[in-house]
Amino acid sequence: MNPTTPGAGTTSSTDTEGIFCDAASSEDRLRRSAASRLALVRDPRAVQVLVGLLSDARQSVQEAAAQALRHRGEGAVSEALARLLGSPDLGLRNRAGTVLASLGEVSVPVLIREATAGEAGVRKFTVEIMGEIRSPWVVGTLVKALRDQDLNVAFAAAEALGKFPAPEVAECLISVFREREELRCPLSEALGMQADARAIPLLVEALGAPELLLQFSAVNALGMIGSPAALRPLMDAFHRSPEPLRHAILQSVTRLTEHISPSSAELAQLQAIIPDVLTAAASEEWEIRRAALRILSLCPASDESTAAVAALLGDPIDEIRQLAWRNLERSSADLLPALTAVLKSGPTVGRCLAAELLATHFDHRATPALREMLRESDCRIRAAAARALGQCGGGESVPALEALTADPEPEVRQSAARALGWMRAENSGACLRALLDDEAGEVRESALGALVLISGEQVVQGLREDLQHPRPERRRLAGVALGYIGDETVVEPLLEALAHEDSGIRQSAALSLGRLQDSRAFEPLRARLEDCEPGVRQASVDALIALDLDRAVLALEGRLHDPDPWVRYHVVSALSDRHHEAIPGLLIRALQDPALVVVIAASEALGRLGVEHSAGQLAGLLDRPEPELVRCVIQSLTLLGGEEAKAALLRHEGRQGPRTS
Amino acid sequence: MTIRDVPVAGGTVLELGGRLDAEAGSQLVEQVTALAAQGTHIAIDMRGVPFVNSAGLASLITCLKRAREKRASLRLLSLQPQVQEVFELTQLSHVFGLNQSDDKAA
Repeated sequence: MNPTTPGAGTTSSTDTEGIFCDAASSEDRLRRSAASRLALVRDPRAVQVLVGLLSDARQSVQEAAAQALRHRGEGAVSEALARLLGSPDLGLRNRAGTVLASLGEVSVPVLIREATAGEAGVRKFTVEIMGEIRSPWVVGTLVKALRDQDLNVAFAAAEALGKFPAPEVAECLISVFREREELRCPLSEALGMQADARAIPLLVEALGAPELLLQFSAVNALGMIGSPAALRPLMDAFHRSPEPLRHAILQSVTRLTEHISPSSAELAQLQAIIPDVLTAAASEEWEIRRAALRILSLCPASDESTAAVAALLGDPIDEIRQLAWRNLERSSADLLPALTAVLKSGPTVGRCLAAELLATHFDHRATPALREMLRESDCRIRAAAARALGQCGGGESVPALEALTADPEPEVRQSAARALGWMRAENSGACLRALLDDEAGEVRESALGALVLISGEQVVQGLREDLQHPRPERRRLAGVALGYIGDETVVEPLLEALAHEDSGIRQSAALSLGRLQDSRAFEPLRARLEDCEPGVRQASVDALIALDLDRAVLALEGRLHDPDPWVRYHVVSALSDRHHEAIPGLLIRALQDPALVVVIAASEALGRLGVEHSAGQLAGLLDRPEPELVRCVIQSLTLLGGEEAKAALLRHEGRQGPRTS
Repeated sequence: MTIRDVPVAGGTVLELGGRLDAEAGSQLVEQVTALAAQGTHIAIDMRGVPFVNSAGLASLITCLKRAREKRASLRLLSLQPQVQEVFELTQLSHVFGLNQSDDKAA
C-alpha cells in the first residue's frame, strides 16, 4: 500500500492511538495497513513500532514497515535500525541493513560509529552497507577498515572501496596490497574496478603468485584496467596456467584489446602477442579457441592469423565455425592462400565452408583447387565445389560441371545444374534439358532454374522442342521455363503452347503470357476463353486482365455465362479488385447467377467497390434463404451506407428483429 | 524502369521502379559499376519491381560481381512475391544471401 494513502483498510483506525492498536492487532491486514499509515504519523513512538513490525511474522507487514521507515527517513530511524545490525535474527538484520542503505547519507553518522565501535560481525556488515551507499563521507572509514584486525571486515572494506573510483582510494588500496598478503584477492578486484594503471605492476606480480584465486583476481583486474601494457604479462602467464585460468586470461585479453584503436601506438603491443593467440587458436579446449578467435577478430589480419582462422572453419564446434566464418567474411586480407589450404585437406565441413566463402568473393583464382575437389569421393565436397565453381569459375569449368550432371548423387547433380545456371553456360542447354527428366525432383527444379538463367535463343529453341516431348513432366517444365525466361524470344513458343494438346501446358502458357504483357497474346488468349478445360479458361481470364484491362472487361462479359461456376466465380473475383467503369455492371449481372459462390463473390465486391446504385439489387437478395449470402449482403449494404441501403437494412431488421453484428 | 539514387549513411540505396529486363538491366549495371568503383555499399530496393526476366536476373548477377570485385557490398531489399519466386526458382536467393541466417556455418 502507498504510505501516502491514509486509511486504505476499510475498517482501520484513522487516529494515532487507533493506528498503534492496529499495529498490535492479530489481523495481518490491520497490521499491514497500520505500518503503511505510520509513515506519516509524527508521534516519535511510530519509529519503534515500525522497527518492531520489521520482525512481524508476515512478509507483507515487514515490507510495509520497511517502506514506511524509508519514507520517514529521519535520523531517529537510522539510530533505531543501527541497533538491529547485531541482531542474531539474520533476516531482521538484513532488512534493517537494506533500509539503512536506502536512507543514504542520513545513515552515514551511525554507520561510521558502528564500523569503528561495533563488534566484528557488525563492523563487517556496516562496511558492506557503506559500499552500497557510495557516499564520499564513508571513504575515510572504509580506508581505515582496510586495516581492521578482523580479516572479514578488511575484506568487506576492500570490496566496498572498489566502488569508489578515485586516485587517492587507489593509492590506499595499493599501499595495503603491499602490507597485507591475505587481502590481495579482494584488493586485486578493487584495483581492477578502480581502473588505475599504477596497479599494473602489482597485479602482474600477482599473476605469478602460488594461489590460484589470487591469479584469477589479478587476471580479471588487468582486463578491467584495460592497458595494453598487461598484454605480454598475461600471455606469458597463459602458457604456464591451467585451463580455467587460461580461459580467464583470454577473456581479459579480449577485453583490453577492445580498447585499442587500430591506428594507435598501442597496436604494436597487441601485435606482439599475436603469435601466442595463434597458439591458443589451436588449443584443445574449445573455449580457449573461441576466445582466441574473438581476439583475432579485433586485430589487423595477417597471413598467419588468416590461416589460423581459416583452419577453424573445420572445427567440430558450430559456434567456432560461425565465428571463423564471420571473421573471414569481414576480413580485408587476401583469403585465397588460407582458404585454398583448407580446401585441400581437413574435415569435410571446413572444406565445404572454405569453398562457399571463396564463392561469395567470386574469386576466380580458386578455380583450379575447386576443380580438383570435383574428383573427391565425398559427395558433399563435390557438391560444394560445384556450387562454388558456379560463382568463381569461368568457361573452362563448364565441361567438368557438365560431367557432374551425370553424378550418381542427386545433391551433386543439383549443385552442378545450379552452377551451370549461375555461370550462364550458354552451351549447356542440352545437358540441362536432359536433367528435366531426372528422377530427383530437386535436380529437375535446379535444371529448370538454370535454363531460365541461361535463356538465349538456343535454350528457348530447345525448350520449344521439349513442349512436344513424350514425357508430360518435361513438357510441363519446358512450358514453365519459357514463362520465366520472359523475354521477346519466348512469345512465339508460348503462343504455340497455348494451342498445345496438353491442357497443363496451355494453362501455364496462358499465365506466362499474362506476365509478359505482350499485346500479340491478347487475341490468342481471348480464344482460350473457349478452351474445353476450365483451368485454361481461368488462366486466360487472369492473363487478359493483366494484359489489357479495357479490352479484357469486354471479352470477359461472355464468361459470366461460362458453364463452369468456378470459372464464373474466378471472373468475378479477378474483376473485384480492379477499377473500370464497366465492372459494376458486370458484377450486378452476376448477382443473378445460379451459383451461390458467384452471387456471394459479386455482392462482396459491390460493397467493397462502393457501387451505390447496386443497393436495390443487393436488397432484393435479403429475402434469399441462404444465411451466408444474407450476411454478406448486409455487410455490403452497410459498407454502401446510402439512403437506399439503409432503408433496405431497416426493412430487413423489422422483419428479422435487430441484427447482431 | 526508373532508378532513383538515394544516398544514405554508409552507402547508397537504388530504388527501382518498373520491369527489370535487358534494357533496364544494363542501365542498372552501369550505375552499380560506378558506385562500386567508389567502394560504396549498395542496396537495391526492389519493392517497385513487379517483374524480372532472365536478362534482368543476369544483370543483377553482374551487379553483384562488380560490387564484390571492388569489395563493396550489394544487397537486395523488399522483393515482391512474384520476383522472390523467380529468385527461389533460379536459387539466386542463395547467391544474394536472401535467406541467409546468422548460422552460416551451423
